[in-house]
Amino acid sequence: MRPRSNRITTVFAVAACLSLVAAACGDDDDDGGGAATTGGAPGTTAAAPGTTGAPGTTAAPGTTAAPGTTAAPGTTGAPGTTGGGGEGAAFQVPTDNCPPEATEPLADGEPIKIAFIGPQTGPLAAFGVIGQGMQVYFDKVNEAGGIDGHQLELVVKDDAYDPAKSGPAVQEALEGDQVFASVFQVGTPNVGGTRQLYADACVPQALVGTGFPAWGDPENWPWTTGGIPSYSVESRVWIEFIKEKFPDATKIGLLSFNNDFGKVYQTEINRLAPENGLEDVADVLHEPTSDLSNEVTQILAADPDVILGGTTSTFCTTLIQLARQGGFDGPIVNSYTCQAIEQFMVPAGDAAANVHTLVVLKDPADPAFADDPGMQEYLSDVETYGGGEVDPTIGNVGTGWNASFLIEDALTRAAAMEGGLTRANLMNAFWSFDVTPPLALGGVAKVDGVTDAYISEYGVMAEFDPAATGYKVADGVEIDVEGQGGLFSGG
Amino acid sequence: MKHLPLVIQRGSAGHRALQLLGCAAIVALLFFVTNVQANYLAIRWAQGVTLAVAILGLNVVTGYSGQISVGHSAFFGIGAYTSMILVADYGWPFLATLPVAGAIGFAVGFVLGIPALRIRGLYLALITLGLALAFPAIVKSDNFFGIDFASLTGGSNGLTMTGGDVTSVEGFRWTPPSWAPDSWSSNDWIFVTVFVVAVVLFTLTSNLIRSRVGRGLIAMRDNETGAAVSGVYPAQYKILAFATSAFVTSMGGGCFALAAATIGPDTFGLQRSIEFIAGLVIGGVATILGPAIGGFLIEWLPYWSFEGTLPFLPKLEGPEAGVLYGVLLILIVFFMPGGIVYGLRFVRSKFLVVVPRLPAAQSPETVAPEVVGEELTPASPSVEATVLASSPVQQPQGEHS
Repeated sequence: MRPRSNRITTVFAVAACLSLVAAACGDDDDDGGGAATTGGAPGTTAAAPGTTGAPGTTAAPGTTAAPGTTAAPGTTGAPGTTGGGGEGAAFQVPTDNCPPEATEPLADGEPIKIAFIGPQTGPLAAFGVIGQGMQVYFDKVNEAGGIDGHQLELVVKDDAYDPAKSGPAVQEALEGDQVFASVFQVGTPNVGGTRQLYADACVPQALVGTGFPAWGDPENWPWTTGGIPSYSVESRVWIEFIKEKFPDATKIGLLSFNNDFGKVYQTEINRLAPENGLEDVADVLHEPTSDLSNEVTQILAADPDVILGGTTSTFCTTLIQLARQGGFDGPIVNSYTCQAIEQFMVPAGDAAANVHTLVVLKDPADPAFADDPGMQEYLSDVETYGGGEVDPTIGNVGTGWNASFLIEDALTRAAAMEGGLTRANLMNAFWSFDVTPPLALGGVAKVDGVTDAYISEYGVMAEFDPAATGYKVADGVEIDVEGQGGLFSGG
Repeated sequence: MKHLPLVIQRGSAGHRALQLLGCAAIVALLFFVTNVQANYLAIRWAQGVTLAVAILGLNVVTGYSGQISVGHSAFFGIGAYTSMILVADYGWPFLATLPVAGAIGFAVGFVLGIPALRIRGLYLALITLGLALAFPAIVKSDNFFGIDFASLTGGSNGLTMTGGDVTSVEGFRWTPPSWAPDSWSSNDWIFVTVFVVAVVLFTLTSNLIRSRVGRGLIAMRDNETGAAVSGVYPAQYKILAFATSAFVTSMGGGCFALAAATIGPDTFGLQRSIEFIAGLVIGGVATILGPAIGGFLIEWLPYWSFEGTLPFLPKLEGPEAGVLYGVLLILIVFFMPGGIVYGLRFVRSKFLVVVPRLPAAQSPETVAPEVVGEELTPASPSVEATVLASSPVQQPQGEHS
């Protein structure tokens, strides 16, 4: 069943396009990543060739697969199949200043070491299970013979979401474990603070698990690519969604994580709300050590019509519970970083009714996807390779498994490139996706680093249904801005 | 054994030999980290050293002067941000930033020491707790009573030594000088730098504690009224203790900025303060060596727990590794209640006893002409009395070596 609003898709496409144009023009100071903070002057690098999708056009025909269904025939990359390369020439990573081993093929029989660096401990340890999903996928690939004769080996490092601990963790992965690439590193300051280490060593820091716009900057940071949608685009989607779904709402209350991640939401919402007839009656930041009781009380005291949660992990759950306990029964819009049903929505129980999220991946806990081929493959893999210790219903396990599909795709293509499986070729492969991962809700994961540096540009704004423990994707609002991302050039 | 424990008098040749052995151990550690340990681990060693310096500062105010502080993460952060900003944004040489970091810490510590004049115990802890909680929020704030701290500190993005906030391009590098051995990497040089700074600070603090001021602090801690009637002015000493403590911890923070390369506001939150207290208690309160051991352990124990490299202990996955860390802390405190230093001293006392130099009339020489290597027997009552008096079991709070 196709989402009902094509008009909104158009509006979102335009909004996202303008957002990224502005992101490309803005600087990347601490006010939210430079995303659309200064307004975009014409003629910037983000006005990418191929994005002739001038304002007002809809997404390219054939690229908007209906949520919950497979992509229509004729689209590039059917779900779960490897594609890649794209039609035009993709970005080629410069190797002039690289150590020689960056362009030397991996020796026969050597394992391909892939690092996952993120919080395994601390308040955001819930993201640690991403590594479990990756391990499951790697085991499957290894059993099938590996990639180009090489076995995959996962190296997990803990930084507890503390950027000061990320440096040692990354150095250890690069120098101690000699990893071939790092994938899905979590945390914006953590990624930003270690980019130079990867650039110096010429090791891919690919598909990072943060939506900071600056990760789409191949010119300045060719060894770093993003892996999830931009928070600034998501903020715009929220505002348009509220206008469409709750036209009577005039007052919004915003809770944001008091770090770079939350500040992107805060900056964007505060800028967009007045332009769209909405008043931000409560703009509250929370610390990672907070239990949110004061913050939510402050928001409820302002009597908002809608509450926006620019936060993540279990803070999303706490926000829902406290808001409902406080008598708020209006809509709550949460960051897509906490779309995982079993981890963050089920614990809220019935309080999670009327909660809306940008859904990007099919959630293993959502019965609506029980018959989905990609989901069945995932569940089968976890059962076969999880050793009985991996809980397949945890959404972030699926996230790791799905990201590993992209890793396999990139490694396979890199191995087929001239020069064989080198780190440079792998980085080039990370800059040239054109594929639909099995757990992607729809759209195409496409990037070329020349006209489009953002791989994840598809999702559906959907309401959570506690009774069905799933999102009402079919009734949601589809967002597809694929190919309109452009590049970030904030420096 | 018949001839144990050996008794060595402070200042004797035997004692000098022991001290030389300590110096050799320091050089050996330097050699081990720069030549034996993997290059990437030098950064963890460097961070451990900076944590040790921070705990040393905490020791001055909590261990020696008896004032509880839960807010030393803020002093640590002040030092780190000062060095980071001066290097990344103003291009200062790193070493030149350390005195500034220390001076700012000293000034802030001086001001925050004022409440300590009237408040003590848990109430003082509460005030310092407020400092620990407020610091990250102030650093992130773009309008703290009209001051835009965020533009200076990088706000919630944090700062990196490679220049400005985390999204900026390459800048600062800490490369070994030309005279350094070729085998030294940038990481090794970072370790050597912070290690040398730490040795200087540990030496200065040790001298401070052995000085008139140090004795005054300890006297005030043990009996404030008694100290006051003996000529120790509590107000002056309390503020001095806070300011000196903040100075040392801020210097540690400045070094931490170099070792971590990237810092964010939450790097200096309440958990960091708790780590300092844990390190102090585990290492040994009111000892000089205790903070060094504590800094080492709070850096390495969580790492070893996560990596599963601890002997005789299982590897636990993810958050469960924290359980292992917690259990280890409990075991250490349970089996060495005074901290590791006191545990080591207890063991050492079975083999070797260092006694102070006594006044000539009661000198051990007058009792036992050649004390070194002699068996401790009831025939040398003055020595035995001295040993017992200096035993950690007898006076755990009085030790300061």
